[in-house]
Amino acid sequence: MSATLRARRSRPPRAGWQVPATQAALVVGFFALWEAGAASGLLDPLTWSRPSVIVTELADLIGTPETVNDLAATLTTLAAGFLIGASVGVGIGIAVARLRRVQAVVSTYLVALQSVPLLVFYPVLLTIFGLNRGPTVIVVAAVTMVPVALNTTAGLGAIPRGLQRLATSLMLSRSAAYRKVFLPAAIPLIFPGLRVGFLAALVTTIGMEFIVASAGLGYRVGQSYHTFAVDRMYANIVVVCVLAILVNLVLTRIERSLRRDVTT
Amino acid sequence: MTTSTEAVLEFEDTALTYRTASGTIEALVGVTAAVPKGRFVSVIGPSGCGKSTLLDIAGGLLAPTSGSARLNGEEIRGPRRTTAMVFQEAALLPWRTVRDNIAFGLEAAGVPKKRRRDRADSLINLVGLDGFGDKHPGDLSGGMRQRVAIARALAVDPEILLMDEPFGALDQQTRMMMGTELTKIWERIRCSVLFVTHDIPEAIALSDEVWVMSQRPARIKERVVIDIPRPRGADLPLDPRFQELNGVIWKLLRDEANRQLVGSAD
Ligand SMILES: Nc1ncnc2c1ncn2[C@@H]1O[C@H](COP(=O)(O)OP(=O)(O)OP(=O)(O)O)[C@@H](O)[C@H]1O
Ligand SMILES: [Mg+2]
Repeated sequence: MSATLRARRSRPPRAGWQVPATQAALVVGFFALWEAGAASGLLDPLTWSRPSVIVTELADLIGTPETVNDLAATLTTLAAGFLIGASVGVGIGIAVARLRRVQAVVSTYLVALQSVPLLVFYPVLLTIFGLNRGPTVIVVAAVTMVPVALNTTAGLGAIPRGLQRLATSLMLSRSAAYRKVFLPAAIPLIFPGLRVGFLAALVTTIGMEFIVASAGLGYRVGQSYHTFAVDRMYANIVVVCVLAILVNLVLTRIERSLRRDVTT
Repeated sequence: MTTSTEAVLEFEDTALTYRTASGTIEALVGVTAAVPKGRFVSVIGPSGCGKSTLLDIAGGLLAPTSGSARLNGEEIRGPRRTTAMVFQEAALLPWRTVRDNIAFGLEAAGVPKKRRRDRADSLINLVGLDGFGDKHPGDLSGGMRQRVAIARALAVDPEILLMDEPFGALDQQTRMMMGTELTKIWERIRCSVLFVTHDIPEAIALSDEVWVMSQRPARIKERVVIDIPRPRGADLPLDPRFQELNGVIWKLLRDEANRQLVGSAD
């Protein structure tokens, strides 16, 4: 938590063209080396595939019903798990912040829960819910919920006294006080929780798809591996990476605009 | 300062004792005084004597342990929309514009959007923030933020305005300027005010009456009427009457400080 706080204070200085240019050069160089290695036979094509082949494979993959289906499966699981987890997390965060006496007890559990790989509970959930999307969504929701709840509690605990007195003296109802004052004031801390939660949700979604799904990007990567379709495996890995980067970019945008509004 | 007018806010033998885990703290014992309608009253007193406590009782944020506090003759039983408060921290909502911050009290009271916008705009003008309506608090200086807080409080057209060291966090220069500014604003609208401060010249310049509090457990040691005519100009500190009153209040406070020193030496 303190790391996120510190990171937020010091904005990096505006970079010139050198930094992005170097970054682009590194990426290009990496793929060039990879391609050269594969072409020269240094890299075993059955393990490493080859960028040019992966790109062709990717082009074939995009738009096929199978890929659309996988993407849809992953995104719906991710969205459902994340949204449920985030809402429950904010709710628990509010409850814990409100009930001072419960706070000490519950936050210890939450912190402990944060270090437990919740993924290991999937067999239990499987026996309860059966082999369907349910267990995956539950585990994804659980990993999202923990950091969101912790950060919501922290954010609400750091509300300046002045704002609390303002809400009281203006006789805001409890729900209006939370909607109009406390939750917006806590956003600078809630949002990093949502981000951490989202990354955990993504990792967990893909991981669970490896194990229990019959569709989805994670499932497709695993299945390609098991059927020795190495090129397809890499193509799907690329899709996963692009998806992660895109969503992360969107989150950064949202966060930045929120932060501009929220911080004094 | 002629005859006593109708009282807006009355304290009658008001006492408050804080109960904490480590024991009880008597903050106020038997405060009896009244803020007359349309008058500006300041409360001054030693640090930690109970000034904020008195203000919080007036604002309905705290209930007296004994005695009573009345607003327009009615017992104060909790916060009300017609009592506006300004605190040391401006307590603005940083994600709202200046205009929407000023309108927030009206919004809480359910005033329709169009009306609260118009009202906010006229207050922006009153407190001298023309052109800043669409800015955010983060874009403003400390003094300007405090103007926004004052405008938000005035927007609801309060029966009484309660201010707890509103300029306490500002630098001396800004503080003096804000004092002059508030005097001007107040002389235009003449609402009832109870104003807490540490600063003697500020209290005199603004007020019709200054309540000097004793050290804790506090009561009102003396009520000093500030009989300097209004409007009061920027040269007020040069006025002999100002200097005289300054001396009177200073002596009262010094005696309290001495009492505290003697008390703690025991
Ligand atoms: N919530 C509380 N619980 C216990 N004691 C309190 C509480 N609030 C204030 N006090 C104590 O009551 C006394 C009066 O406090 P108060 O804040 O009213 O003083 P003040 O005159 O406003 O002080 P300052 O000049 O520092 O603003 C102080 O000794 C303070 O420590
Ligand atoms: Mg105080």
